[in-house]
Amino acid sequence: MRRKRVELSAKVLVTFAALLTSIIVFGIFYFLISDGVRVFGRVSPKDFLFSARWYPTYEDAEFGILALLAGTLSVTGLTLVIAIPLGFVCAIFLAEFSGRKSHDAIKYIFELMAGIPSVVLGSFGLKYVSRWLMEHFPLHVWTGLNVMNASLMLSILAMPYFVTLVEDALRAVPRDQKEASLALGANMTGTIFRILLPQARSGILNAIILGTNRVIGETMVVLMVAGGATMVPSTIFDPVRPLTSAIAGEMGEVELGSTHYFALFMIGVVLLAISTVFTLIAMKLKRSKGK
Amino acid sequence: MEDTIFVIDELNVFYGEKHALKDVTCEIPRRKVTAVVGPSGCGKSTFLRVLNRMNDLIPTYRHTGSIKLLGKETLTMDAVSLRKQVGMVFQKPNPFPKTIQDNVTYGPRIHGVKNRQRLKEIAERSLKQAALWDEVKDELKKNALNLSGGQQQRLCIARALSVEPEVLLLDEPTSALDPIATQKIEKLIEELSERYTIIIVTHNLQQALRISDYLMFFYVGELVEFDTTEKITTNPSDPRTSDYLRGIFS
Repeated sequence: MRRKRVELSAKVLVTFAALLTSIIVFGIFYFLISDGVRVFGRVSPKDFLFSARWYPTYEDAEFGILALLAGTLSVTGLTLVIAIPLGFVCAIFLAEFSGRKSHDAIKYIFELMAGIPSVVLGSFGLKYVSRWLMEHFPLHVWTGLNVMNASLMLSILAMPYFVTLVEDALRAVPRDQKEASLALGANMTGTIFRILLPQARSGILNAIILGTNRVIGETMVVLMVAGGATMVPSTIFDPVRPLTSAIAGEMGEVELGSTHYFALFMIGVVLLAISTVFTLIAMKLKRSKGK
Repeated sequence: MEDTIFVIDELNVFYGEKHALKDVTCEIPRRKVTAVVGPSGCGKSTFLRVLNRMNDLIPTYRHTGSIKLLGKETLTMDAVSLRKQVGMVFQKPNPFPKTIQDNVTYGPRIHGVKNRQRLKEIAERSLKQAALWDEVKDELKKNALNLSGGQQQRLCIARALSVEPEVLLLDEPTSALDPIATQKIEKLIEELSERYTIIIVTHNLQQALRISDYLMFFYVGELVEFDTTEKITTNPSDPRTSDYLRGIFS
C-alpha cells in the first residue's frame, strides 16, 4: 500500500516537472511570437524578410532583415567550412589512430577550448585576430572585424562539440564491424570510409546540426568581431551584422512598444524558427538511427 | 612442405607484461581442420589472431619468433596481403548492415574488382561454397541483418571466402548459434576443408572431436600437445591433456 503511494507521488512529481518544462518552453514561444508579429502591422512581412535595408533609427525607419540574415548565414557557413573538415580529421584521429596518451592530451585541450567564455574569445579576436588579418591580407581587408574573424572565433567555439560528437558516433560503430573489414584485407583508410563513416552517418549529421545550431545562436563573439555593418557581404572579409548581434546590440536602446522593439522580437522568432527546424531534423535523425 | 601451411617457430606473444603465448613451435597441415582447444585464458584466441595479425590493433601487443605461411614470413609481411590469404570468421555473426550481395562483394571490391558480372559471379560462388545460395538467391538485395543468426554466420563465412583465401580462421563460430544452425556450420566446415585450411577455436570439446583432423591443446600460453585428433583422444602424451579431456567428459 505504502509502496503504491510512493510510486504514485513519484509519477505525479515527474509529470508535473515535464508539464512545467513544456509550459515554460511554449510560454517563451508564445510571448516571443505575440510581440514579434506586431511588427507586421507597420512593416509588411515581405519587406521585413526580403529587404536588405535595416535602418531602425532613421526618421524614415526601415526594417528589412535580409542583410542581417545574410550576416548570420555567411558567418555560419564559413564557420562550417572551417570547422567541419578540421573537426573530422581530429575526430577520426581521436577515434582510430591516437594512442592513449595523445588521445587524453588532445581531449584535454578540447575541454579547455570548450570552457573558454565567448566574451574572452571575442576579445582575442578583437585585439589579435583583427590585426593579424589586416597585416596578412592588406589588399582584401578594410576592417579586421569581419566574417572571417567571426568564423575563426566561432570555429574555436564549435570544434570541441563537433569533435566530441563525431568521435562518439565513430566509437559507437561496433568494433566487430571494423575487425570484419580489416580481416578481409581492407586497410584502415578504406575501413574508415566504407564502414565506419557510413555507419556513423546519422550521428555525424546530428553533430553537424547541433554544431550549426550553436554557431547560429552565438551572440557575444559576433557582436564583438563580426564588424556590425548592416550589409550583404560580397567577400569573406566584409563586416556583417548577424541576427543575434542586432538583437543584443539594439535591445538595450530601443523604446518599448516601438516598431523597432517589435522588429527585434520578430528577429528572435526567426532565430527560434531556424533552431527549431534544426533540432527537429536532429531528433528525426536520432530516431532513424535505431533502424 | 607440400602439405604444411603454417610453420611456426618459437612464437612468443606479450600483452604489456603478460606473456600470453610461450615458445610455440609447430607445423599446421594444409587443407585439414585443426581445432584449437584449452581452458579459458589459455591463449587459444590469441594464437588464432596472431595468424592474421588481428592483434596488431592492440597497442600493448608484442611478439617474437616466426610464422611462415607457405614459406613466407607473415610477422613482417604487409598485413593487408596476409589477411587476404588468411580469412577470419568471428564469434558473433557480424555482417555489414548492407545487402547480402554487398556483404560478399565488399572484399573483392576493396581489392580492386570492379566488373559487375565478375562481382556477381564471386557472390554466387562464395554463397554456394557457404551453403547459403539456395536460401538467399532471390533476395540478394535484401539487408543482411534480416537473416537468421545461423544464416548470418554462413554469410560471414561466404564473405571471408569471397577473397579466395588459403586459410580460414574460425573463432568460436557457433557459440552464439542454436544446435541446428551449429550442425549446419559443422557440416560446412567439413566440406570446406577439401579446399581450405581451417583452424577453429572452440570451447566445445565435443565439437572439436567431431570435426577436426588435428587437435592443438593450449594450457596457460603453452602448446602442450599437437597431434591428430585420434591420437590425442586415444592416447594423450601429456597428463594435462588427459586431465582436460577427462574433465570435460566426466
